[in-house]
Amino acid sequence: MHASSIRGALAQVFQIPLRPTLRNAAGQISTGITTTTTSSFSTSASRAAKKGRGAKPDQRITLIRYFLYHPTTLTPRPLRFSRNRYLRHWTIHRAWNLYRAKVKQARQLELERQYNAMHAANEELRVGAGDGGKLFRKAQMKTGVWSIPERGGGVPIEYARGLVEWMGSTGGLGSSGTGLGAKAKIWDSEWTRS
Amino acid sequence: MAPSRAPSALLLHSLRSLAIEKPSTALAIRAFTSASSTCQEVQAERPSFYRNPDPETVYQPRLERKLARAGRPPIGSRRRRMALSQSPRIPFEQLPYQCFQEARKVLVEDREEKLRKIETERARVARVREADPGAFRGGEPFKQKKLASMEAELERLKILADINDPSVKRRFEDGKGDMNKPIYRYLAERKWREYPRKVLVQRITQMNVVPDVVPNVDPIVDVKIAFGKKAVGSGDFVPSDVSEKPCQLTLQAFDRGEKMVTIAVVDPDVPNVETDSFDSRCHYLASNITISPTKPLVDLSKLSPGSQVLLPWLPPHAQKGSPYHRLSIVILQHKDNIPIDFEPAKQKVERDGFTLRSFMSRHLLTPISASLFRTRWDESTAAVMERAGLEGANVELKRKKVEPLPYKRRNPSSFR
Amino acid sequence: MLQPRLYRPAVPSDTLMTSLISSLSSLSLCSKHSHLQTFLTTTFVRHASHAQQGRANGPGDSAGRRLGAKKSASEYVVPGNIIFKQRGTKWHPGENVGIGKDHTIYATEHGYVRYYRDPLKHPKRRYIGVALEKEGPGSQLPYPPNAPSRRRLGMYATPVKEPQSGKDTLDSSTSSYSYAAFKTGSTPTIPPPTIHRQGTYREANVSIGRAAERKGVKVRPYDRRDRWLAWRRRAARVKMGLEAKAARATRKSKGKKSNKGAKMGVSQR
Repeated sequence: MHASSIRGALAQVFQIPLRPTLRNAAGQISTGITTTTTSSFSTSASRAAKKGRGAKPDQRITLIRYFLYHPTTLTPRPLRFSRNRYLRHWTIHRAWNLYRAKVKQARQLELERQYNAMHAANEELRVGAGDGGKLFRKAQMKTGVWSIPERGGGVPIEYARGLVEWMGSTGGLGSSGTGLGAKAKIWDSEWTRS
Repeated sequence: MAPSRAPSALLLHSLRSLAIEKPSTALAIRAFTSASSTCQEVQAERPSFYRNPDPETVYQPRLERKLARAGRPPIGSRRRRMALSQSPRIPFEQLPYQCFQEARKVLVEDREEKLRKIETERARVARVREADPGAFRGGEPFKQKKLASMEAELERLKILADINDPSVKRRFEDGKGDMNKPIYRYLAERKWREYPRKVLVQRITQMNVVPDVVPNVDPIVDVKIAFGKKAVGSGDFVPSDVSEKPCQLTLQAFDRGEKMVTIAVVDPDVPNVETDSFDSRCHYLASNITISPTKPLVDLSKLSPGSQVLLPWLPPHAQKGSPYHRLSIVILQHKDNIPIDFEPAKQKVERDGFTLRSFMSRHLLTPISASLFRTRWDESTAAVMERAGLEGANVELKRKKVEPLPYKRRNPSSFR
Repeated sequence: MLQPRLYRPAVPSDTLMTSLISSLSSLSLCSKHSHLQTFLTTTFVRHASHAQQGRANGPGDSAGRRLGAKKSASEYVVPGNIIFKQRGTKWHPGENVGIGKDHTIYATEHGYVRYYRDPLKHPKRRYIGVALEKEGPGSQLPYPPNAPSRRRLGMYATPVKEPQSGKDTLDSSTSSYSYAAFKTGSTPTIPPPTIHRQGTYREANVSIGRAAERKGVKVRPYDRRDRWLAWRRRAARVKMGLEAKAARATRKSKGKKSNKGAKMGVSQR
């Protein structure tokens, strides 16, 4: 009853009258009639077009479209729980929030600790090394940090890239083809089993 | 039934003693093992269900009638009772859902951590309290300030320890929360600030109670007005025969401790024909009233006339034709919760021409909340005024006609 | 999802494939893709279809709407006087003034017009108000913060007029509900009949209208929420309508038989 009412309500929305349907096509195949009712420019039956109201599209198509595109299926159902069920849901929700907050706080504390350690080390270098802070000043110079290792640089420039969740088809190493990107291809689309 | 009753009582106890883990786990083991001897014994001792039906689970009409005759009507619908009687009735904390149980583990662990923090905080507060004020650089005021902030932190920790407990949430939603505990006070205040306080603030500002009666007020106490059994929303019109007797107030405070308050009911809309403006009149004034979160109810007619009531209730009345009267109820807190001297205050105070501002400054009071109801002329006003011995019921106010401006003829030559 | 290859306009060999493709292309998705290719080659030409004359570009210049200040600052106004006419709220209503549906600002008290700003109320708005006094401490607008507002009573006291007539009618209507009260003689006197030009007597319309009152007939006031009463009324009305219809039907049939054609002709002319 529900499905039929959906169909009834939405048939008009998703209906395309002027096209042959799967059912029509199947009928043609089964009977073996190969009458060319289609013109050279259109795939639709001219008779159906003339009549104005041809055969209805297959209900399966209507349903596929309904479940793919209609907003009622795209919107999640509201949560309606009994009291105990709701309280259980709430408990889990609170526990999850608590857990996440704790993880976040731990990370923050760790970062703070690292920063403070680095700061203390720098301060020690600046004040306690006994060379008037020369070593500290040298250490703070950033020349030649980012470079190519072959040229004697410290850290490869690729490491300066931002971290991403998903990589492109070449792994972010330039265009594919003969260059570096070709080797780094992360998915071989042309691969087949045999 | 027995297996459900016992753990719930135990759980209550565990909450009170701030230790949730041990008894609940012990109970969980007992509930899930089939060979639980204690429950069996308890059931064997009890008389038959047919002899002594439970009003929560009875669903046979005959037994229902029997219970109703005994004066214990069955609880809920028959459908619900039937479902309850046929369900295993596992206590909520022990419901066998894996994610739920894992979540409970996390929450219980967090709660224990919070309890440990509370203990350390308490120890610190005690240490500071014992310490000599000379040890601090700021002296005694610094010590007091530090103590206050530490107490606030302690309260916050107590709230945090309980806020994730589903049974606390359930009890609060059922209205069974104990307002002595910080968590229920916190939840009640949050609920109040969510909507009712906004309505109250809107009413007292839009109806101009705030600049007309009190200069400024930031409500921290919930005020509910009731005449007998009839609840009155803030700003409602109350028929004058209903408001002939004094009202009952529910002054719900949300912070711990008692408050010494003064309640004033002031009408700032008394028409004065001689000066062509409005006067103020006090309809009720009572001081030295103690309220606390657990005892919010104040019946204005039951306060002691010898030590509290400065001005007894004068029935609100509006003369015929006069604009509506706002009966504004203002709650004022005494400074340091010290009661005011009753006799001198009573001699000094006057009903007509009462100004709340001067009363406040004289007795060092601060407004902590305000509300109002309104009154206007209706059929019963004349009778109410007669019973109260008030004059003026036979006088009607009518609008004065304002003379229109004389018609000024414009210079026609400037017209096209 | 479907593979895009399937609905590329390839030329298939057998009929089975054609039918399958045609059926699949009935999905709007596929049709969209096929349309895309056709649109790529379209060139756009601008035709001279935009009218240059007449009222095409909107009315050019209308008469002035006579907006602006009608009363200047510290001018005396009485209730109802229009102080400012505007489109939108260039000025907002302040103390003792109202605002109309076309945002006209008018006075609700007699006093003196003030144009002012009130940063505590709103930092950017300009207000128009009416001060109750011409000079002195109460003549300044806005009022100082947290000060009680100044109001004028604007009324005078008179002794209450006993609503004699109204009370009597009320009493009579309540008492005359019983037939005995009607009999005892609380009936209003019948007004004298009017004399027509022809010299005939006819009861005045006023008196006809009050016949029920004289008679002591009391009609129960209609209560919209009383659905039982509403249902009975409706049933009675439907019944009456049916009866009237039946009566008309019988009359019509008689008329048809007699001379309908002639009547039609008359009415047409």
